[in-house]
Amino acid sequence: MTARPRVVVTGMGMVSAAGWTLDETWEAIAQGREGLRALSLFESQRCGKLPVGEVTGDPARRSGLASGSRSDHFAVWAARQAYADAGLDPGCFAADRGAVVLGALTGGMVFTEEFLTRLHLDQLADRVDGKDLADRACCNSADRIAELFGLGGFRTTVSNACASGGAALGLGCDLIEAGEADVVMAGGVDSLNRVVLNGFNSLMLVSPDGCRPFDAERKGMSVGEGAGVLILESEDHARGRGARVSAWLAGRGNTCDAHHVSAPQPEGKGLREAMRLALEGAGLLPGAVDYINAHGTGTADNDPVEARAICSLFGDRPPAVSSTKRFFGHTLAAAGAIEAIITVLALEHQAIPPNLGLRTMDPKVSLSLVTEYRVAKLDVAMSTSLGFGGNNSAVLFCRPGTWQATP
Amino acid sequence: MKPVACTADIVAAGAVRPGPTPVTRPAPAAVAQGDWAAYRLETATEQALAIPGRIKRMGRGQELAIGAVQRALDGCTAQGIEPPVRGASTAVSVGTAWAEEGDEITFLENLIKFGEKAAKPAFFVNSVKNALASQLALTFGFQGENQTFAHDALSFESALWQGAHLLRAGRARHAVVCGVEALVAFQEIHGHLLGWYGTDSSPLAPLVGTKRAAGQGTLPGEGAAAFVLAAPGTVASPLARLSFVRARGPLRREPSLAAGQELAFIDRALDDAGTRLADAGLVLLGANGDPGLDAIYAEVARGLTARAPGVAVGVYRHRTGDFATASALGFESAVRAVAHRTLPGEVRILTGAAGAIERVVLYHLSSAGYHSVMIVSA
Amino acid sequence: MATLEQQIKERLVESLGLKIAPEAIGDNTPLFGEGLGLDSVDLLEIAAMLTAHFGVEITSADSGRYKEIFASIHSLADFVRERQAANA
Repeated sequence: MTARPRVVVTGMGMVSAAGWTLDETWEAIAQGREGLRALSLFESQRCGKLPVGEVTGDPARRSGLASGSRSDHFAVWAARQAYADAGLDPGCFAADRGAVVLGALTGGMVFTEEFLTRLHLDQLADRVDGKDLADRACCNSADRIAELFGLGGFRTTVSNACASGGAALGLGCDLIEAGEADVVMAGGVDSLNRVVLNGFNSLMLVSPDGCRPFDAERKGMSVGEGAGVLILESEDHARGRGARVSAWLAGRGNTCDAHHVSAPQPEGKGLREAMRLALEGAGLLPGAVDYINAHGTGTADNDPVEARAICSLFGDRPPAVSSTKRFFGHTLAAAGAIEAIITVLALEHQAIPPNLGLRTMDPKVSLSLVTEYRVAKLDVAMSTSLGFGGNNSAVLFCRPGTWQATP
Repeated sequence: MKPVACTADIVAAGAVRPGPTPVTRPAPAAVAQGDWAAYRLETATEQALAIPGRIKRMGRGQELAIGAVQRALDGCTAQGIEPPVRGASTAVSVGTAWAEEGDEITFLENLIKFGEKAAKPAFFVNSVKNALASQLALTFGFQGENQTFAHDALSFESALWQGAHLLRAGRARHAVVCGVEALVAFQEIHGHLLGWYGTDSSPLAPLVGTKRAAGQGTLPGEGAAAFVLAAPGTVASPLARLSFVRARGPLRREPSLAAGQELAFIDRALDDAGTRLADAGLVLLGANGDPGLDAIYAEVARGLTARAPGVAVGVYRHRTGDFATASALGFESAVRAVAHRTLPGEVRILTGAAGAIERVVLYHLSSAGYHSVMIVSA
Repeated sequence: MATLEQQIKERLVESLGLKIAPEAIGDNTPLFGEGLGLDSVDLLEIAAMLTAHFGVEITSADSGRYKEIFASIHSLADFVRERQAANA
């Protein structure tokens, strides 16, 4: 294996139904405080009573952006937090060595919804205005972040459905390993809107009583929203500027099932391979992993597939597992990033976040599920995501100072 | 740390191009009067994209991507090269600004007109932007890394960078990289309302010919191009080589564009690529005939020919129309130019004479301020 | 006046965008698996079509009977007739 720069996390920021800061979020996790509530962001006859992971508060006031979509506000807020958390300032990197990679799916979809609603229902052609559509592209959020922090280097938006956040982190690693960037703001964002809520609901994937990951009586997912941004640097660059290292991003894997447009490969082979690649990249054996933050959406299909993948790889020495989706719902393109942050926080706090919503574990699932906040010695933890189209993502983190690759 | 050079072997290429001249259709009555023009796929092309024996519908973007990839795979066969195999050793990277937006709009319009009870789930599933990349994986059995990049005029360039990188990192044996955009009515509405497109339906004439009046903008288009890449040096005689790709975005919204800073960007790119402009047989510009943007391109072109008097300068969007991932079609023209050492018919030379082309430097600038340099070599 | 079976065929082809003439679908042709080759997402699409155009709703309470209801055009028509009678 060729020597590559080690990638480290030096800062994080997020917003979700669990809170606006890392501290608020971890406090909710430690208290076991669910974040799902009835939808209030917009009216919906069919979806109005579904529990969702809706962010409370006014994103526009928090972001400081003069205009933009809800997604833009979330993304900028999370980016600000991460930048401050990392102790960054413009002197830390040359503009063209600063990069941004964001996972996004819906962007400013709500502007399209409003525009088409006016067009079809009001038929008021003289009131339609191009400016109403200006902020609808999902790449806007990454652009706003780049402008705000002077990131003149590599820039892109990854859109791999629910595995976008994990893929964005992987690409962030690629950029550092290729020497293309010194600092990467990598993460994901998404916000609630009629299309995603009705979309998942029309697929009969949404639970009327909130997601219950791995539960025998689970009835589906809960749609959520939010943003997560991580600051990635090479270890040398971080040490060179005296940055605090939160965790080492030691390995990652991205695969594609090529099985079905929306259902995962039943044996979880694709996810298994993604996890295996993450371990291989880190030079670690499965037994080294202490905790897995699972995708665990609570749908009929996802949970057993993920369980099978984990069991087939980790065999008789399974790590502790929990899905944290009852704290904030399935945040779509943000999920991979938000849950990576939760995974790093677990390493920092030396505690496992609980798998809320579980009453009886599905007998077809055989995992070491953690259902209450548990203090534990954690050195290595993994975050997994699965998405429509068969995309699988696994990201492996190590507590700084503990990473020793097996020879 | 200096970046690792971004290189890859281009094993094969394929493209699905729109008709060479704009076609008009009535504008949506609720939005505008008269006709709107665009570079659209010809009927024969559309029919050729239908997958034989397949009953279930596929989105237009998916058909375009599959069509381009199939042509690239056919190119492997024609060259007597082993095509990328099914399985985990073939990765897929797609650049598309809007993916299967037509299906997303159908889903939304259905919600609005018929209510939430009648939401169309198949159209929602196709709305996720990676529907094109995952359909490529399903159709061709490519189970390697699967990525979709949706960042306006950086989309194809991101896919190209990432595909080349993962090959050099040894994570796949082949990378199928595709740039694709399907024109849908809503895109036309968006562009017309935002002032990108005008009502002049004559063919685009970037930098020369019948100039469009100020404020007339450009015209939209659609198409796809796909490339089979391998790590540098792994293929005995590739079609061409990707020598360099760099794509960047502006640091302000609605930035003021200036030829001076664009030339500095190009100079720096060539320097980092270790390429002299004089060694380029052709500079291919992404100019789209919009008068404002043309002015910048024209000054950049003058600057480039001043640096290397012999170099030929050409354009291609007079045949493709303007869309975020049209650079993939320009890239395909560049690959064919280098592979056959001769100018493809869809490239129009503005200055200089293109002899035997061994290297093409592609330069793109969009009105939003995204810009890129790509270099294709023999 | 088109039979219910004919109407369902037309709406099915239209809503799924199938590249086949409605008449080419037999009343008893299996819709899933070996017949038309539709999948679970298409099943939900058909359910949405029945709601939009025939005023009948399929809920999760019916999930035990999905295979039966969606087996063929004929079984869909029977289901619609049954529901429309119950609604009346």
